[in-house]
Amino acid sequence: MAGMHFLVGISTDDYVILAADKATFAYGAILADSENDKEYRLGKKLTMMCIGEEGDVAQFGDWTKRNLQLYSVRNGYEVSPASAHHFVRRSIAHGLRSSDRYTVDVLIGGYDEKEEKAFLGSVDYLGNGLAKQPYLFRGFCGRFCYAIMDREYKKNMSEAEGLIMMKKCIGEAKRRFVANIPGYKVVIIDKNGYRKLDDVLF
Amino acid sequence: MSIMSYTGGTVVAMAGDECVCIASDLRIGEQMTTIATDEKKVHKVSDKVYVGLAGFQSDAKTMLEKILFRKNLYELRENRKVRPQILSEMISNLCYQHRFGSYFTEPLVAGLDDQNKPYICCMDTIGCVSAPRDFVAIGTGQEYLLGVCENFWQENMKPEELFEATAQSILSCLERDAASGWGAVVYTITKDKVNVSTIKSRMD
Amino acid sequence: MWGETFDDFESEERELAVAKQNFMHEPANMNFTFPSLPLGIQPVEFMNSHFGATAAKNMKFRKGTTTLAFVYEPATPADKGGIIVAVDSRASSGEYISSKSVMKILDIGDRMVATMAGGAADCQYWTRIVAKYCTLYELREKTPITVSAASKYFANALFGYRGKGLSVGSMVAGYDKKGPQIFKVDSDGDRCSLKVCSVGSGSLNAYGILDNHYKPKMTDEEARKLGLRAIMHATFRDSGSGGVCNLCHITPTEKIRLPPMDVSKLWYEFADELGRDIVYDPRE
Repeated sequence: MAGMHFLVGISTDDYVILAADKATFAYGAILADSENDKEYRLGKKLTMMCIGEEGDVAQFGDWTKRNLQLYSVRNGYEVSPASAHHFVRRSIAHGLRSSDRYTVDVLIGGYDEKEEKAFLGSVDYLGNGLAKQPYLFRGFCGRFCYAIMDREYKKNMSEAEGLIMMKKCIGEAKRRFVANIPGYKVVIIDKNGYRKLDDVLF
Repeated sequence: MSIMSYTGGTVVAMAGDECVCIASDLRIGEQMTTIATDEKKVHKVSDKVYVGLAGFQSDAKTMLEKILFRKNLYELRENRKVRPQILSEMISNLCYQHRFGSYFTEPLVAGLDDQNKPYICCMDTIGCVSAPRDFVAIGTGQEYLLGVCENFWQENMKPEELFEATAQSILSCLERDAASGWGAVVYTITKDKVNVSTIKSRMD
Repeated sequence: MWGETFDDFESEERELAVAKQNFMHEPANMNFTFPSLPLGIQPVEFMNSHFGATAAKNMKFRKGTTTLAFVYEPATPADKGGIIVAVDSRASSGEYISSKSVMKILDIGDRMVATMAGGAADCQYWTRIVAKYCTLYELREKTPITVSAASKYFANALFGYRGKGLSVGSMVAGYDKKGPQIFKVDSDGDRCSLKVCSVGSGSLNAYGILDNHYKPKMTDEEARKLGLRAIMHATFRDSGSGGVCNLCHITPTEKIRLPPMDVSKLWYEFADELGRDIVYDPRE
């Protein structure tokens, strides 16, 4: 049911904003939960939002989180966002050609300490990965929002402007999409670290 | 739509006089929707050897990783740079190893060998190499490209002419192929240096 | 007058009444019927057994479109207001762009247009039929047909062929005695009246722009620009749409067709306006 869920990612060089809906749908017709958390923290300045088949999301999200945690414990440092993105893409692509595949779509956002740049990337359930993009969406609602972002995105926009853009996208999803999405969890990562912002509720 | 045109993309290579040109478009999509417009499908493998991977982006990425891995092992073991002929054979082997469950990507190799002789070749998804002396094309725009290349290609082109021919060919292709476009990048490989240029194209 | 007998009339009046009955009734919709297979033969099975299972798939019809229309009121007395209809011009079958210059705004009379999305042939044919009906209606009734009536006729015609594989998503837009009107009609026979409307594979992107920038009151300049921009953004993201933007402005007094604008040029202009650097930099 990845199509009904919605992930938003907007980034500039300074920050990355990620938003994920808080819904769980059942039977393709019922809103089963309105407090579902789709976020998996992968590091101090790195996070992943994950949608897809319910079981796969939980399993894959946790598996990724623990593996990257293990990496940092073993090596004494955290992976960069680009490396984490590469790892996730490879895992999904590898899984696709094995008996156990994860049907998940993810957005990865983080702040790269070395490059001093925010990072936004996506991986779809087929393993198509995109890194270092200004804005990305997962889920059907994204198709409304790419044009909005094309129209208004600015490389040097402030955090407040970025949040307004994100709200525009979510508002458009609310207006045009059939499903009742109760609210969105919003996080932001910049050079000062990770912050959870107030939920966008309807 | 088939899996080969799910993400879209086109790569073309042309051979000239001691030079080769390899060009690709920049679009990545999910079927009809364009997701990104900065994804080139041409990758540097060695000094004067480039690989183009069109088809399904996920498999193209996986394939590129495997190609680089094998090429690095080769260069370390042999202690010399890989020649395009050798690389194409390596890629062909790699493709055929997945004969019963192939990667949905068609590789293309373009480069100059140690005598600065141009070499271009393309393969199907399971590694059938075809290495003509004039030009090769892969991806969603293959049919359109082969048609226009017939017209643009000439014997013994110099780097400038070759660049012009390649750029014009891929631009013509992008006019008619909906799954590729949004700009193109052209690599002109000569014996002294590699020239990279980005060309504007239609943005629809 | 139906059910009257003519015996009550004087001879002269009677002739007139008979003439009226013979000529002034609603003309038959169409005395043309599509040839169909003999009773009891299923088209799909027929195709499969005679031409192979892939035959139908190989018939690639032209499709892939962005069309939009919206109604607006003039913001100043100098503006005309009315309806903006904007469309792209690409016809594609699969990834192949079969034409870059299709006119997707089709005329229905002097004050009304229909847009074309879905199967190009289906749209063109049925729009022709609707246009014919509207012309005859106007001659018969001596008053222009309303957009509502024309679109209803269109929807009824399509409803008669539902389930037969027609593919039409059309917007009938025009000015009539009730004011500016847009009706969306599709091949399921659905018909609805809208103020802001978009149809086609790129419609989601067009909606994104329209929803965020549409105002009920606009100047003509603003409205035309909005139409162009929405089509331009849709063509950028939707590979099924492209070419030029054809725009038609229907005002209370006239129908203005604007010259086609290349969407790619529009995009580069837009990028310049924003000062956005869209030149790709190979990261190597």
